[in-house]
Amino acid sequence: MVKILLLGLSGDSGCQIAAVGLHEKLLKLLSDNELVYAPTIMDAKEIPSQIDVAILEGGLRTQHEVETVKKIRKNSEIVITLGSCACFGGVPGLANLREGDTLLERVYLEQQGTIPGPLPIVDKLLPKQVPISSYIKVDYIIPGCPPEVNDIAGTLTTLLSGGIPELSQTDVCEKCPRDRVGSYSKKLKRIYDEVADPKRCLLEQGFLCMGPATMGGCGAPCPAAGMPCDGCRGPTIKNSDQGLTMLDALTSLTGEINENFNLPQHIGILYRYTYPASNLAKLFKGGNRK
Amino acid sequence: MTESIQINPLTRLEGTGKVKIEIKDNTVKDLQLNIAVGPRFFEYLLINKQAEDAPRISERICGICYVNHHLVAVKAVEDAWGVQVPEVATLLRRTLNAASFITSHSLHLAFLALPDLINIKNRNIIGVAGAEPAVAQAALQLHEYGNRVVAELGGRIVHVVTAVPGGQTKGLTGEARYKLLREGRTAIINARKMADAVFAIYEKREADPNEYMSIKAPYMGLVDKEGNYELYDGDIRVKQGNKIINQFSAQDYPKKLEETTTSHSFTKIMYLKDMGPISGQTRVGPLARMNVIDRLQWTTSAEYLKRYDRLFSRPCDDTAAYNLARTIELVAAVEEVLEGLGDDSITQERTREPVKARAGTGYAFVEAPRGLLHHSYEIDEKGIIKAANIVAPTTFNHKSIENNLRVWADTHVAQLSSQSNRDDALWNMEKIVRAYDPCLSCSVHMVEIDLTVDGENYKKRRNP
Repeated sequence: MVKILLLGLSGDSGCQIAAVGLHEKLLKLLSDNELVYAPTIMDAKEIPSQIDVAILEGGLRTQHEVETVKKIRKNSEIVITLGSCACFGGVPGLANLREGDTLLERVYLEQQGTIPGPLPIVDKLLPKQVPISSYIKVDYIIPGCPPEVNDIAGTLTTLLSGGIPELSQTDVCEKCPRDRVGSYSKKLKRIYDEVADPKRCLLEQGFLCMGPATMGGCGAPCPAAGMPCDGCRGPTIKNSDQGLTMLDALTSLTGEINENFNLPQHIGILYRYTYPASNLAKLFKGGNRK
Repeated sequence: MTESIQINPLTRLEGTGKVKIEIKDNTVKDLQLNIAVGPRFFEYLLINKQAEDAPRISERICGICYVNHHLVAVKAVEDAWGVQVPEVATLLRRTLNAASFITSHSLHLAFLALPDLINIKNRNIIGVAGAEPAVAQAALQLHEYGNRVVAELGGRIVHVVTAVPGGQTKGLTGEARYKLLREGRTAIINARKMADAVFAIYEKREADPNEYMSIKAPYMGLVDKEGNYELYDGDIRVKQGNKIINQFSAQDYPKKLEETTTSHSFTKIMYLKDMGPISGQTRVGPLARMNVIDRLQWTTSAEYLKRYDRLFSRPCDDTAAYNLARTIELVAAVEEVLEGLGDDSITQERTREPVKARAGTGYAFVEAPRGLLHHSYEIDEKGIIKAANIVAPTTFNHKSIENNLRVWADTHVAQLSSQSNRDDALWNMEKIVRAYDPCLSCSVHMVEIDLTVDGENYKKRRNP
């Protein structure tokens, strides 16, 4: 019986919900092993002193969360980060473009339609949203927003049977059903501008698709459904900075930087899930850790 | 002497939170619901992003209500741009939104509510699976069916992708439609199985008005033009007692509603402007929806509503009714999905039209499983977001949950103060919070109870 902890931090529990999608497999996993702490689905209130596998979801935003993960690290054999918030900082990391204190004021006091009252003093905020590896050693990552159910099941079963889980070696394009013709639009388009050709590569058609810069293994469901990949699985195994890799791909494929490329506008696509862990964030004063 | 108790963390909820109670000389001096999920500043991080990305960014607020965030975001952007989508896109979105109620409600009932309702020792899904295997099975199958519909219409199971200003990027093929319709026959059987089980629990139990307590508040929810049950579009209706005190469209939001902040929670407080921040705090969600509608338009769920009316006469203020209302909605959601899939026009191929960005502000509401959800965006002429406002159901319900706990604690102060009854008392308070199915990550996320009785802090919690 392996003792498992499952905890969500500053995230949206979507990865845990994805894990629920394992259904019968989940029930079997839970009954073959011992879930010692999982506040989303059971009533244990204290972090146990002995944990074999700790699965952490969500990034870090408050001091309390930092203390919690430090305690979990101390008590655990293996720590896994589940999902792109835990692995890279995730979508909430886009707020790092502004400091924590002013953010509180901005959202709680200066928001239109909000009558300013007292500022919340529930917990001390960190200056930035950061990935869990900013504070503790992480043994394995399962990226994705959320990760694919098979990634979660695969990593856990491999680990529980004594193996070492491996990340996908490919990018999202590898399994994309769309075809490349070989010529690229010189102009970046917005997704609402036109109805895309359903068979052809979205990037070739001028839609900023993050497929070439994003870790594969998902089966490319988004481009298959008519939407560009927005990079939720983070950088490929060969690269560390997803946005730079994409820029590189854009320039090498189109021969030049696209005429209406604009970093402030496109940063929300290039670094939607990985800004706190990116080289770009490190260039800014203070990096992503105080 | 003051004694302080905390339920910390509150469990079997989506997110992180805590209830702090202070008792002195057999009186509750203070009670606060603290929502402590780190705030993630979505309203700020959406600024300067492309408006068409709002549906995909803002759905990351919630791992359960993502479908609803995705859809309300696209509706708000379309409202700002004056866009009409093809009818088939509305049908696809409406069906997708209903499917999200199947997944969320089946999950809530099986994993979160049933462990309390059937009062088993092992209060989690494993316990439910042991005590009521057929019900647990039905719930998991329903959850899976909901997921399939969501994946088919939304492109993915969690964090869907298909809504774009102007329509949907993906339609439904005849083959996929047939498959979902066929599986839907089992889904409706499973929904009845679950509903019968939950109704049987309620019909057998001795009604105890003090178990969850009743609290009075204006109820708020969507209705269609005929006053029918509505989850995707329509007007916002506000009802107090039997009286409709307000009915308005999404675009009236700035005139009708306002938020304020509180020092003890990362969630804001939302109220009806003309009633002010104290009496204008509303209740939303399944209970509210059953209270505001004139009728439920599908036959099977309407039958369950009749059974509900025999137990709780509407308008109902008793928080105990939340789980039963949710059960009716689970059946209604399956019926709405089947109605959508049964409409031959759902397989039309032209599911979207190209649109043009323009400067403007757009407002939209949809019903999420736990209540009304609002997004608004101010967008510039280049289609870039300049301001965003998001009001999640728990923001509407926050004060009602707190008030509900307060009246319960006031009534049961002796139990809370006594060593031997305290565990049960705290469990009961958690049941109340869970009845609202609060999505604490939506509102910002888990709950713990912190009780101080005459200066002595009580933290120990049972660990089943």
